Formats: sequence, C-alpha cells, structure tokens
Amino acid sequence: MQQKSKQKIKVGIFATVAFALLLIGIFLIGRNKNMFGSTFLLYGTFKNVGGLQAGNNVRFVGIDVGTVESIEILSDTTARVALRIKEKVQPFIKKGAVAGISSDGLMGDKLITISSGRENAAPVEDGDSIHAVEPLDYDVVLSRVSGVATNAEIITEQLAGIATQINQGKGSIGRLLYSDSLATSLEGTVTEAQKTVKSIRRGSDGFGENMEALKHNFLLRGYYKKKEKAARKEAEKKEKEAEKQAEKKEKSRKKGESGDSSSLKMSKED
Amino acid sequence: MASALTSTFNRYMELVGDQVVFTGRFAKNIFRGGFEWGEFVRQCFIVGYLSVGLVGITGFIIGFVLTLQTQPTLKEFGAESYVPGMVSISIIREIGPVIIALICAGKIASSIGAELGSMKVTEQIDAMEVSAANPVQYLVVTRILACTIMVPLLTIMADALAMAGGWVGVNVQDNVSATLFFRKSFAALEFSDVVPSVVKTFFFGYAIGFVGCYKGYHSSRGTESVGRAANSAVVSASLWIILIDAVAVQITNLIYY
Amino acid sequence: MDDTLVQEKNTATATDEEVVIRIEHLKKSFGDNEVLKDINLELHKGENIVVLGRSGQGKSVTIQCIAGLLEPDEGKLEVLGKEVRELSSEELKEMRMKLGFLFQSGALYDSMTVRENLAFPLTRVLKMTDEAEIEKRVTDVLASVGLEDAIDKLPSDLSGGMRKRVGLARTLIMRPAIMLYDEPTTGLDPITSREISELIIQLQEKYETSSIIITHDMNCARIVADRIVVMNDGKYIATGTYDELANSPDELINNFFK
Repeated sequence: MQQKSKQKIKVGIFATVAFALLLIGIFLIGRNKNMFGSTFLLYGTFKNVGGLQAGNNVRFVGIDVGTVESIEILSDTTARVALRIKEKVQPFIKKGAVAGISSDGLMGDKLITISSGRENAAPVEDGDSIHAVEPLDYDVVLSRVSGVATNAEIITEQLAGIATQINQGKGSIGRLLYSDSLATSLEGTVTEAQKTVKSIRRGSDGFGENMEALKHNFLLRGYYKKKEKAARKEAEKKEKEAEKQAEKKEKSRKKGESGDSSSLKMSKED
Repeated sequence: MASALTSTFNRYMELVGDQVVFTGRFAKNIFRGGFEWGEFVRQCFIVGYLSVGLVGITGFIIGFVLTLQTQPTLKEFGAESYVPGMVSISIIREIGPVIIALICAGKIASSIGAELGSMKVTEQIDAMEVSAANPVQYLVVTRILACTIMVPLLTIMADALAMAGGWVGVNVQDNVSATLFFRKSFAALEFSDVVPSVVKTFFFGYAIGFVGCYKGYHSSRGTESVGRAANSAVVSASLWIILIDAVAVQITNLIYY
Repeated sequence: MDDTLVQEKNTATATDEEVVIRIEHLKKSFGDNEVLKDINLELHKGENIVVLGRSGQGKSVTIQCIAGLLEPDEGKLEVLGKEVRELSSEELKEMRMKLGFLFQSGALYDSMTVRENLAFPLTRVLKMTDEAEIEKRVTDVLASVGLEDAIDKLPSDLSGGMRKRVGLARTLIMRPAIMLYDEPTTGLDPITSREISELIIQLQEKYETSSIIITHDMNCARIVADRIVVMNDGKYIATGTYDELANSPDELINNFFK
C-alpha cells in the first residue's frame, strides 16, 4: 500500500512538471504573439503592402511592440492593415504617427515601422487609423532609375559632341588648342607690350633728371637736406631693431629645439 | 496462386477486423463502471515515470546534436541567428514527437507485449476472464490510457530538454545567453507548431499502448510466442507511429494553411 | 464399452441427483484438427468426475468450453440448466461467478501479492469495499489451503505446490458451485501431489462443490474420483468407478491403471 502511494506521488510529480513545461511554453509563445496581456488596435491603409503578412512584427523606435493582426483588401487599390500593439506603448505613439513598411535584414521578413508623430499631439486611441507611407515599390524605383539612365545617356552624348568639336578646332577652346593665328597674334601682342614698357621707362628716366635738377635748386635745398637726415636716423633705428630681433630669434630657436625633442619623445611613447 | 492471394487477403482482413473488435472492447470498457484507478496509476508509473531518464537523455542529446549539425551550415549563409528558431521548430514539430514515440515504442510497447503475452501463456488472462473479472478493463484499458496520457507528457519534457541541449550545443562554439537563446526559440514558434504536435503525440501514445496490448493479448500459447509478441509489438508500433505522423502532417496542413 | 451403455448409466443416475453440467454431442476443431469429436457427459451435484486421457487429447478443451473460454462448434452444453453459447455477457458473468477454474500453472497474477491475488475477484466481481470483510475472507480461505504465512509474498517467491494452493484458494474464495481442475497435480512431486489431491477432497466437502478434474495422474484420480471418464480420440470411451475401470478388460482403458 505504501509503495502504491509512493508511485502515485512520483507519477503526480512527473505529470505536474511536464504539464508545467507545456504551460510555460504556451505562455512564452503567446507572449511573443501578444496573445496575453492587454493590447490595442491601430489601422493603416496602404496602396501596396509589399508582401507583408499577418504575424509580422510592428516596430516603434526600433522596438518590437506588436504584430500585424490582419490584412484586408478595401478596394482595388487599397489594403487596410490592422496592427495589434501592446497597451504599454500607447502613450508614446502620437496621433501624427506614420506607419511604413520595411524589411528586416537581407533574408528578413517584412515589418511595419511606426515613426513618431509631432511631439505635442495627443496619444493614439484604440481603433485609430494612422498615416501610412507607401513602401518603396520596386516598379517606382526602376522607373526612376531608368530616367536617370536616360539623362546619363544624353549627357554622355553631348560630352562626346563637345569633344569632337574641340578636336576639330571649333569653338574657343578648340581654337585655343588648335589655331596658329591666335598664337601669332599673341606673340605680336607680347612684343607690343615690351615696346610700351621701354617707352615708359624712358619717360620715367627723364622725370628723375628733372627732380635731381630741382634738388640742387637753392630754394628747395634745405627741404631736401632735412629729408636726408631724417632718412639716415630712420636707417640707424632700423639697424638696431634688426639686431635685437636677431637676438630674440636666436633664443626662441633654441627653446623650440628642446620643445621639439620632448614632443618627439612623447610621440615615441604614444 | 489465386487461392493463396485470397487466403492472404482473408487473413489480413481477419487481422483488421480483429483489431477493430479489440478497439471496440477497449472503448466500451473505458466508460463501464469500476475504472481501475490503482492499476492505471501503476501503469502511469511504469510507462511515464520509469521512462523519464531514457527519454530525457535522448531529448537532450537530440537538441545538442541538432544544433551542432545546423550551426555550421547556417554560419555559411551568415544566418547563425536562425539557429535557435530552426532547432526549436524542428524539435517541436517533428523530431521530438517522432523520436520519443519511437523510443517509447521500443521500451513500452515491447514490455506491454511481453507482459500480456506471458500472462496469456500462463493463463492469467483466462483466469481473470473465468473469475468473471474483466481482463480488458483491468489490463488493456489501463495500459492504453496510461500510454495515451504519458507519451505526450514525456514528449513535452523531452522537447524542453532538447531545447536546453540546443542551448548547450550553441555554447560549445559561441557564447549565447540562455535568455537570448530561448527568446529566439520561442519567437520562432507559433501555436500552429505546438498544438498539432502535442495532439499527434496522444495518437502515438495510443498506438503504442494499443499495439502492445493487442499483440500481447492475442499471442498464442507457448513460450516463444511471448518473444514474438514483444518483437512484433515494437515493429508494428513503430510503423504505426510513422504512418500517423504522415497523416498528421497532412491534416495539420489542411487545418492551418 | 459403447456410447449407449454410457448414456444408460448417466440417465440412470440423473434421476437421483440434480444435473449441474450436461454435455451432449459436443464438437470442437481448430482448423483441420478435430479435437473433440463427440463428447457426452453429465455432472451431478456433489460429484467428482475425473477425466483421464493422454496428453494432447483435448481434455482441457472440454472444460475451457464449459467456462466459455472457447466456443464449441456443435452440440449441447448446459451449465446449471442454461445453454452456455446462448448466454448474454451479463448471464455469462453470472454463470462464471458460480464456476471455479484452477489452471494448470495456478495462473496467479504476477504483479500482485497473494493477498491482492485473492482480493482481486472480491473487489472486481463481488464489488466488495469493506476492507475488514475482504481481509477476513482472504485469511479464511488461505487457512483452508494452509498458507497463512504467504499472504504478503509475490507469486514469484512461491513454489509450484504453493502456487497451486493459492490458485485454488483464489477460485474457492468466490464459493463456486462447480470446480473445474485442469491437471491440478502436474509438475509436482508425489508427496505434494497427494497433498493437493487430499485438499481437493477436503474443500469439496467443505464448500459442497461439484467438480470435473482433468488429469493423467492415477494417484490423484484414485483419491478424488467418484467416477472416472476415459477419453480417447476426441470421445469419452468409458465411465465407471476407479475399481470398475481398473479391472476393465479393454486394453486401452487398462493401460492407464498400470
């Protein structure tokens, strides 16, 4: 009899443990699928859901906050997606929030991302519809890419035309590169310029002679002497300053050398 | 030739008919008054509790090995993060239930077949029948029900241990926290994975109990027939498990997809 | 000795005593093997009939048919005035409650102790729930087979003779009106055989049963038999007391008594 009750206890323990494991498993799966705990619904209307399926994740600021509950076709161009979202995040999703469809990694599933709306708007309520951004449709992308390609074609064609014209010596660049007459006329201009400079120099020599004559004139001699003295003083001053500065430079150079060596050390230590 | 065929056909049909009758007797005796609770608990103890060690070790190693086998392949695709999900789905849906059922077929169906076979040979079943007690109620109902209930519980336990084994397997090469591993494992699971696989283990358990009892109960007299009953119980129980599994997959697909 | 003679003798005694088992022209075959060809037998209240025959003759088949374990192909088989083959499962159960069957091996339930073996029919068939009452009947019947000490042992711990006794106790605990013994002394040493045979007589007197005893042990037959039936080739070829048959001129019958 005692043995029997021991058996009963053991069977009971085993059954309880196994059943508890089942319940834990169910709970864990259910938690991932938002089946337990309070949730609320949001709706978004898309023209194209891009392969989204019921059960896909919903992300808000990069966190999984819910799943796609269902997708139903409203008309030939629109589908309404119901999102089941944890109640905890409800205060953070504002009325102006926008739902978009993106995909999770390369092999990944599609998912809905909710981007936050204006800061001061009221939070969404159960059953609200939020704005939806159309997913990047491959057709659209392709048509854009093909537009770019056409443009590129035109540009390269034109470039090619320009290059041929340059080769043929047409246009200003072409002429610059290929025409002899331009070069000769340029040469002519240069000699002209040299001539002009010479005549200017000649003119200035004449002016110098006139000034010398003036210096020797008695009326103006005193003025010029004063000017000479001041100039000499000035020169002496300058010489002294120059010496001082030379000394300073010497000193600072010595300092700089020692500083350099220390910085070198530092860099070695680094 | 034709007569040989017909006799084979007749023998087969007789076997099928016999099993149907046996099923009927089993079903009738469940609900007849005086359920043998004591014997039922004893059988649950033998079938369930005494198999915990074998089934647990098997489950753990399945999970461990499966992870080690999957990881390098997925690594090549850079999809290592799918290891927990893949391991949990394959264990819960298919590998756990089927392998544990086959292990139980080997352990339980054979022992039931041998036990009832030897009871038949030593006239214990006849003695019960003659004493106006009900051998089907006492021997068959308790054993089949014990198997039907214990095999699913064993499978659940083995599944849990297999996932633990998977976690250990991942940690042989990498360092993954248990929290992350189990979170990913359960994120990959749906109720449509768990429910059908738990339901089918009840059928596996029933098949194991039924085949063991049928083979034992209908073994012929003579000592060597005990061995034959045990052996053919294992063989047919294993076959039944595979067949039920194939049917279960189809039914699951019909219901969920 | 021919059948008509047997019949005459049976009908003669039938008037004196109540008939509990009546078998007429019973036939049973397994596949092509015709085991029982034409069995006729009447068992009277309080009578011990020993069925003698060589091994493999289908002696056991007869009593298995009586107990409803096998279904005969043809013939009449009445137990306590009711045709066995026409019984509903409830009636069959009732009939079996009045029937005790001691199997060749004792057929004790391996997984149960002696006490549980004996209590098994009480709780299952008589639906007894009173522990004290069950305990009393178990100890009583164990005392009558002389095995009070073995009450908590498992069958695997018992010797062959003890198993037979416990098996006997298990059938007697139901207080049957008819006992069917299938080779009660086979596989036992001569001393134990005699003990068992004497026990059969004692219990017969104590519980007032009528018995059919299948055996090929002549000592046993001598001790227990009121009447002996000799079986050969699927038929009962002779009937009479031990002394009558021992002095029979028929060599086939006489061979058993040598």
